[in-house]
Amino acid sequence: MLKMETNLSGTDMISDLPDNLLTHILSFLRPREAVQTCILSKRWRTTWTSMPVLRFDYEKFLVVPKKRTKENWVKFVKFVGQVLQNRERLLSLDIFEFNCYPSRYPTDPFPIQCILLALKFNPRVFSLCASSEVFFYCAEPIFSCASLQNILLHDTSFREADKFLELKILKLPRLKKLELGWLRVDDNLFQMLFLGCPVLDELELLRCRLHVSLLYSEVLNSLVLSGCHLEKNLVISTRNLVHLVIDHTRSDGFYFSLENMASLVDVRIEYSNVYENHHLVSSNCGWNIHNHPSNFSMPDLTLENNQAKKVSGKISFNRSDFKILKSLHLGCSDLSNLFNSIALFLHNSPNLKKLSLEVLSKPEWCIKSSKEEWSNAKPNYEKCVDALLKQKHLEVVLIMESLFTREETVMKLFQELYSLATSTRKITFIVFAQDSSNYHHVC
Amino acid sequence: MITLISSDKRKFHVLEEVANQSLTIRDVIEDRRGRRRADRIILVTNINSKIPEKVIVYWLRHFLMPEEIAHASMSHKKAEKLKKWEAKFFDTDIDTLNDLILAADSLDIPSLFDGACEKVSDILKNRSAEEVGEISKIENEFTHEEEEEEIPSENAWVWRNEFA
Repeated sequence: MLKMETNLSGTDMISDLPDNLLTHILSFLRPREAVQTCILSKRWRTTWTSMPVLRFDYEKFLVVPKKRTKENWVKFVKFVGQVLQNRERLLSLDIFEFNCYPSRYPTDPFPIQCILLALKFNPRVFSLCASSEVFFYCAEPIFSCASLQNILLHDTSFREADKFLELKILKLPRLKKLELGWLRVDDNLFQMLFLGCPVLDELELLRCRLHVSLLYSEVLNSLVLSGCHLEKNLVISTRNLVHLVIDHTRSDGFYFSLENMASLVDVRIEYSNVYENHHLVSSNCGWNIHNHPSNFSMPDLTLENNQAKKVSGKISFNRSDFKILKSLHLGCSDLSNLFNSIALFLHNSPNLKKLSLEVLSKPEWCIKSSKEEWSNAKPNYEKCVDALLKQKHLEVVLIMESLFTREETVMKLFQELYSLATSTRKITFIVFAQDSSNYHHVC
Repeated sequence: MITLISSDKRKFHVLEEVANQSLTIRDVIEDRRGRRRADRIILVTNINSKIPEKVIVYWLRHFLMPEEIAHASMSHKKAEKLKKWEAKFFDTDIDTLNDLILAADSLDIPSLFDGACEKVSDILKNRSAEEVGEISKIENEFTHEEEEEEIPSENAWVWRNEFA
C-alpha cells in the first residue's frame, strides 16, 4: 500500500483540474477502476464516460490469473460492451486496445460487436489481439476506418495462419504505422495496402507467412520482418526506406532481393537455425548471398546430417548502392555465411560508420571445431577483410556473442580483426562477451 | 539563457537547450528569435515557485541523458536508472502532483505530464471510494440514498465482483 501524505490545506485539488486532464489520469487506471470513480462525487459521476484511452486486457481482468472459464470470458466481453455503450457519443477515442486471448469460444459474437462499436468512436490508435475468426469478421471495418493512424493486429491463436487475410476494401488515408502478427498475407493485400495508405511510414510483420513476391512502396520509412516465413521469392523495392530489419526469417529455399534502397541508413539482418517438425532442417539455414551484378556467389552448402535437406535461402542485391548506409548489424550462425554477407554489404556501402557482428548460437550436433570452421570460412574471410580495408569512414566495430556460442570462435574472430585494424587505421573495437558487464574495449 | 518568472515573482534562469523540452517554451522562443534580450523572459503565471524548481530538476535529469548509447544492454541499464529516479521524483504529495500536471499541461511537456498522471492514477488504484475521498479530499455531496442505491444501480455491471 502506498503511504500518502495527508493534504494539509484540506481542499480537493484533483477535482479542480480541467476535464481533459482528469480523463487523462483515468486513462492510466484499469477500465474497471476508472468506471468505479463515478461514486466519488458529482463531479466524477460522468467523468469516466469521456476517457480518451481504453485498454481492455482479458488477462488483467481476471482476479485469479489463468482462470479462463467461459463465464469469465462472457462477463469480460459484456463489460467492454457496457463501457463502450455508455461512453460519451461525441468524443472521439484516442487509443483503443483490446486483448482477448482465448480462442476457445470463437463463435461468440460479442467481441465483434465491441470492436465495431469502438470503431464508431473514430479511434486514432487501434490495437487488437484476438483469434483469427474475429479478424475475418472485423478486418474490413478496421481497414476502412478513416481516422486510424496506427494499427496493431495480432492473431493470438498462436499457430501458423492458413487462411489469407482478405479484404475487398482498404482505405486508410491517415495510417502511419501498421503492425501485423501471426497472419498470412498475399500480394493482393500488399498492393491494396500501399495504394490505400498514402502516408504509411512504418510496417512491421511479426511471424507472418508471406505469400508475397513484391513489396513496393515509395513512402515506407521503416520495415521490420521478424520471424516471418517466406513462401515466395520476395523483392523489396522501397526507395525511401531508412530502417530495415530482417530477423530470424524462415526462408525454405526462397530468397529476398533488395532493390532501389538508396535511402537506407540503418540495417539489421540476423539469420539463425530453423526448426521444422522438431527436426533441424539445416545448420546452414542462413542465406547464401548472391550479388547479381558482380557475380559474386558462393557454393551451396550441403550437410552431414541425413535429416537435413539442402536449403539455399538467399539475399540478393540488384544494383543496390547503399550510399548513405551508416549502421549495419549482421548476425549469423555460420561464420562463412557471415563473412560473405559482410563482404557484400561493405562492397556496396562506402559510408558505413558502425558495423556490428553477432555470432549466433548453433545446435550442438553441427558445431565443428573452431579450426575446421575457420578453414571453411577462410575464402570468405579474405573477401571480407578486403572489403573492410577499403572502408574509409568506419569508426566502430562491435562483435557480440549471443548466449551459448562458441567463445573460441568469437575470440579468434576478434583477434584477427583487431590485428588487422591496428595495422591500418584507428577503428574502435568493442567485444561483448556472454556477460554483458564484462566487455573489452580496445582502441 | 532564458528566464522564467513564476506567479510569486521568483526568477529562474535556464539554458535554452534545457527549456526546449517544453514545447510551449520552444514555440515562444522560435517566435521571438532574433529579438532583444528582454524578450527572452517568459512569465509562467499559473504556477508557484515550488513547481518550476521541480520542473527544472526534471528537465536537467532528462537533458543529461546521453542520446547515443553503444549497446542495447547498456541502454537498458540507463533506462532502469532513469525509471528509479522518476519514481523517486514523483513520490510527493497529491497537491504537488496536481500542480505538476497543470504545469506540464500548460508548458506542454508530454513525458512529465504522463508521469505525473500515472502517479495520481496509482494513488487511486485499489482503494475504496472512502479512501480515495479522504486522500484527495474529494467532498462526497451525494445523499445517502444516491450513494447506496441510485449510482450503483446506474452502472451495476461494474460493481459486482464477478471475476473471482
